[in-house]
Amino acid sequence: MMLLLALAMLPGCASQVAAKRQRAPERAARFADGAAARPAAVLAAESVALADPDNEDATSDRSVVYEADYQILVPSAREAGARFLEHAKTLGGRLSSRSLSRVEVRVPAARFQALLEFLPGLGRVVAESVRATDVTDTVTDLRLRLQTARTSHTRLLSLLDKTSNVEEILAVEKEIRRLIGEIEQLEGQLKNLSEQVAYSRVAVAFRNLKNTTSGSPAARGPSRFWWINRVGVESFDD
Amino acid sequence: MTRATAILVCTAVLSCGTGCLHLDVPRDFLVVSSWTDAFEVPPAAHIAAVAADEAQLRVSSFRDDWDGNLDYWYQALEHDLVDRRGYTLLQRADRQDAKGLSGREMVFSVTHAGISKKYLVCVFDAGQRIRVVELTAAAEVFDRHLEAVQAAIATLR
Repeated sequence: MMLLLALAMLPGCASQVAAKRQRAPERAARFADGAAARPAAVLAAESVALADPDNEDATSDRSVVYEADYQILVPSAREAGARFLEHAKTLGGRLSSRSLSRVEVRVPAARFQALLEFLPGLGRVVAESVRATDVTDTVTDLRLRLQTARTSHTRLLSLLDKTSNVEEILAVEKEIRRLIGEIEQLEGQLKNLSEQVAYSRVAVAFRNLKNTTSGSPAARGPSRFWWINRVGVESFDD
Repeated sequence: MTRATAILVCTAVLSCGTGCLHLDVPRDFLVVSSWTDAFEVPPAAHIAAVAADEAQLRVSSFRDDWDGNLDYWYQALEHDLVDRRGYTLLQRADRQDAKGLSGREMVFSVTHAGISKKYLVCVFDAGQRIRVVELTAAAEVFDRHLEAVQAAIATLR
């Protein structure tokens, strides 16, 4: 009965020091093999990169997610998309998604600004949207919840070692399973968020110049750039 | 000569210093036209040469009204020639002029006035000006001039 009472109090007493385990029964080891036994992976997930696109040396303790969406008018959407992707890769970025006229990449947050500065060179920017979302509070909250869940998990493992009552064992195991699920979920959220902070998202929709005219006959008209109309085999006849 | 006229002439001469074009025209070609419009700001220039087999070489300098860069003009030119005019792109290459300025070269095939031709265009972005070197000739004689013209592009200044 005392064990069940302790189980009910677990979420509120996470800061208490768990009793030292005197033995290591198989049933405790079985649960310990779940979420709490992966410190390296968890640490990697928690190491949220802190980057300030305007200042690589910034020591800000804020976690910020940077995102940008652009629309660019280009002579050739396919070629411009390829050049954009190539440049993103040289900055350490990677492809997220790609279609005929849209390319989305993720680049290290420290290179976000450099990639944006490259975009006007591809063509005429007709729309742009840049956002910075501060997720510091969310990251802090997730970390605290994760820490609490892990502490509870450890304490339950200790409690499991101390009881021989079948009913109590089942209740503790059920709670441990729930906690493992919660820990994995929190780790996933934290990892996803750290990924978003570390790698900024830049999406560019490329529009072909000829698609901006109405109908194909218009696309056969002269170039809007007068000098282009003065070059080519035809212009040698003049 | 009035003082105003003298100032105008001096200005034109000074402007020509940054606007004149020079290209070591291959010896197979004869220069038939060469001019500089020093009164345009920035100055415009033009060189035209013809070979005995009627291959035509032309160097032009256009004012960049849009402040585009090399990549943009290169793409815009390719788009216009391929998508609007129906040229077929055969090859492309990077070039440099005499001062080390980067340029982009493309070679196309095209049928014009019932004649199968080839066309080379090399574009340079020289700040306020766009410099263009062109070679066109009947397909069967084009290749004999290609190497010499590509070498001449390296002398553009």
